[in-house]
Amino acid sequence: METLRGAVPDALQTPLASAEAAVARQLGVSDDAALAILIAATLLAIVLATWAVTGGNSSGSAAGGRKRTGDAVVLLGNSGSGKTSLFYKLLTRHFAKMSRLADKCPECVTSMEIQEKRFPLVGANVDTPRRVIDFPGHARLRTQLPEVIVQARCLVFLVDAAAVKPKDIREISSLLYDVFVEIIRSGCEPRMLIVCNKCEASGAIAPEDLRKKLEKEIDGLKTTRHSIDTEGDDEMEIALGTEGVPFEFDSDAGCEVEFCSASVLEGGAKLDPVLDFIADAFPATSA
Amino acid sequence: MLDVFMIFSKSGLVLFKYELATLKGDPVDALIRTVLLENRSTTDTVFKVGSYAIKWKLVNKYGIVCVAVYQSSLALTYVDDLLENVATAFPRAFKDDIADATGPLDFGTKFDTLLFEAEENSRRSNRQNRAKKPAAVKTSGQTPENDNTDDNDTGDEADDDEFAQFRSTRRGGPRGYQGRKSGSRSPKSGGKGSGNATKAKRAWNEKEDMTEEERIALDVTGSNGASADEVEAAYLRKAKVYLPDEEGEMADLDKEAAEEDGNDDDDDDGGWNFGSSAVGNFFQRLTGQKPLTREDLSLPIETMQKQLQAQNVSAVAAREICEAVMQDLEGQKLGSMTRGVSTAVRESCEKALQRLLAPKRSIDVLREARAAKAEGRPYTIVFIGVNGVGKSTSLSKVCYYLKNNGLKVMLCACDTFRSGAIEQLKVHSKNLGVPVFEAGYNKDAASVAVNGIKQAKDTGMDVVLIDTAGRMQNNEPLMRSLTKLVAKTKPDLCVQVVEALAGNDATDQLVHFDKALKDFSETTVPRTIDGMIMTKFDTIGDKVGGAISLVHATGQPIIFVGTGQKYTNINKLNAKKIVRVLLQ
Ligand SMILES: Nc1nc2c(ncn2[C@@H]2O[C@H](COP(=O)(O)OP(=O)(O)OP(=O)(O)O)[C@@H](O)[C@H]2O)c(=O)[nH]1
Ligand SMILES: [Mg+2]
Repeated sequence: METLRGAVPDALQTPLASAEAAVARQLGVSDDAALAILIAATLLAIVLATWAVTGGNSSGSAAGGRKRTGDAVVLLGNSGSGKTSLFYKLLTRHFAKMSRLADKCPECVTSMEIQEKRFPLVGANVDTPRRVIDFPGHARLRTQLPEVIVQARCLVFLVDAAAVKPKDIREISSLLYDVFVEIIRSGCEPRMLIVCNKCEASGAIAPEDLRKKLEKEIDGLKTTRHSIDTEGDDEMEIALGTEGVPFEFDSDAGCEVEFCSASVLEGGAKLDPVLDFIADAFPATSA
Repeated sequence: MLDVFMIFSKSGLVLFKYELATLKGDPVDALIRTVLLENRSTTDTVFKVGSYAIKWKLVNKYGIVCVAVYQSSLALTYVDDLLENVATAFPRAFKDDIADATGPLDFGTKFDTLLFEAEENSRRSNRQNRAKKPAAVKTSGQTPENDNTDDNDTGDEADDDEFAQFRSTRRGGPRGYQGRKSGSRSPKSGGKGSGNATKAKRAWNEKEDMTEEERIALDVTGSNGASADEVEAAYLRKAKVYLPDEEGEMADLDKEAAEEDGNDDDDDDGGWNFGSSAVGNFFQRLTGQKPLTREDLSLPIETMQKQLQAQNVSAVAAREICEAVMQDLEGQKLGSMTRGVSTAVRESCEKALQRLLAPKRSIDVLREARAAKAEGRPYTIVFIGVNGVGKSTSLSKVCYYLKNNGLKVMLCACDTFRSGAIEQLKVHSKNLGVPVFEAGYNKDAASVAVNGIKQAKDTGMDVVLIDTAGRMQNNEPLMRSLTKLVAKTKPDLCVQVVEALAGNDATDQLVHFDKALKDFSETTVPRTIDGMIMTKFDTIGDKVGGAISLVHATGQPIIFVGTGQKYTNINKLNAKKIVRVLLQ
């Protein structure tokens, strides 16, 4: 079968007869049988080609257009928003189902390194593990943002919904701004979910309120970020949205953005919006 | 006494936690954020935050950090030893589990042994110091057992009793000790299904050994009046049973670890294993499976260090950056043949430099000024620095920038010292069309600044830019008055202006200004420099290393660079370009 597999692409190009003869010669079967094999091989090739164009090429292809994305779930957010907690929750949920372990939140400290693991996601096919990347919130690692963004199939952006003072909103917006600029620069189109995490805590902000606050703050950033030139810069600076028009997630983010409330700590139904979003990013057809 | 001992992975998962007291606040997070993530770990060995002192040890090969937290008022002499021992024992016991862990690992029993030994050692050496017994000078390699017998001979009863009492309250004797085990230690969630059963069993055996050892140890402290002979017999017994068992236990617990320890290398997950022969090592190195050693790295890193210094990076900064690179790469595998050691060093160095230059908090002056305006208060910036570095020029450039972006700016002339300073500021004020607040020469600069801010508020100004007198960093009276000005005005931003040319001088200035602001401050949380403006950046060509030295010395970002004589010659620092130039 090695030879047959190797012959398939050629068979599509060369005249049928010569291919048929080649198959017959190679496999030492009658011409009729060779034709049958050839037809089967051609069909297989067509199927493969179609698969490669649509599903196999890491594309959601929901809107019909082809999207350029990576293949990983990327967890983003400022320090302390709950990324590492979510990372281990996703990881243990899978094991928990197999071994009756409680899926509890492990204790975490500030992350110092990007962490990446490949494991099956909850509810998804066990045989197709997915890459999940935890990108720490500390500003010192911000320079590594570009290399992570291009790997993302979907972005889960966590916000500590119980810490949303003006200063916090500025920090969150600043990171979001960087992320959006990077998405636009890379030409990737991952989907993004902005999660109001810790929703069980008192004073947690509602998604709609957060959206309004962030839009206002990011709109302010649009002018201040480019108010001064970078010394000796040769790159074009990328600006978000349109000048003079207030920033909106729906039109200016460079990718689809949804909002939700969740609690990584409590899990259960309070984590479902996040799990559903991740599952949606990997539709069954895309294997 | 130790409050908390923690082992966590660099990715942020807590792998083990010993908790004698609940910590107030998040001292461990503070350590990670302000020390470990700043690449400044090599200079200090103790980190103090609040009432806590923290010591730590990185085990790079396994990507874990061991951290001991205690009250800084206590001088815990055994912490270093404990960290050292845990840093060896933990990876040895869990070398295969660390990467896959999803929660705490079952290290409690072993940790208690190590803690006990460390405490014991330190107690003994303390007492020796007090007793000044020349014959009893011990080397650190000596086993605790023999020493204990020796202790008993000294007859320092009070101390023994005290200690026994302390220990039994802490652990409640052998029985309570076991009880505590299952109780207060965080329960393991266990990441691995297989192999857990056998390990649990072994842990249980070890626990029994431990109890035995505990009992003996308690006997030794003399509370039940055992004779010296009995004690010695007990120790002989223990030496036979406990110690070899300990060794055997290790080998048993992880056969691979023991075997590979013999090979002095333990990486076999790459596929080919050539064993420990020289040829094997050579092939492993070729195929990138051999972990990098200090020896492999020292030459390329030395070259890198020279290159950095040639471009004006201060010797201290270059050394520390290279040490960080060493720590990053030591024990790592190259992974593929194409990636040579020097490439790896370069990449790691690039990462370290970028991290260093990335501001730890984004300073967007215009945005912060607008936020202050929204709160209905003027945004204040104090400019400090030595004479002639370009303070007033930088101030006028910032003024131009903010005014151009629609803010109402006022200048405040607090250089009441150098004649002509106020006039100079008035010229700028006229050119820029902004008001200037002044109260003449020889006035108290701090009160001039306070009055200036008040006037700005009353006249609806958005920003106040405060000019101060240039001063040498070693002029104590002037530094005191500057500290007072900063304390009184509570500026939103305290920027130090430095010359790009000055090189190591500038670093020295910065460090001294920062230190003076700390030392002369009368408040508990002194206000120090928030960032820097680097002037005359257009004159230094490729010698951009000064930027690295400055940022390294203070840990604060360069907010602007001055690139010429005009008001418009003010820019953001181009970190990418600097790294590129330095490593070209
Ligand atoms: N109350 C509450 N606390 C949570 C929740 N999720 C996470 N936390 C806590 O938030 C803290 C920070 O969580 P981490 O997962 O370490 O945060 P992180 O986003 O990884 O932070 P960095 O690594 O610094 O970027 C931990 O103490 C968590 O226990 C939640 O849903 N509710
Ligand atoms: Mg984290």
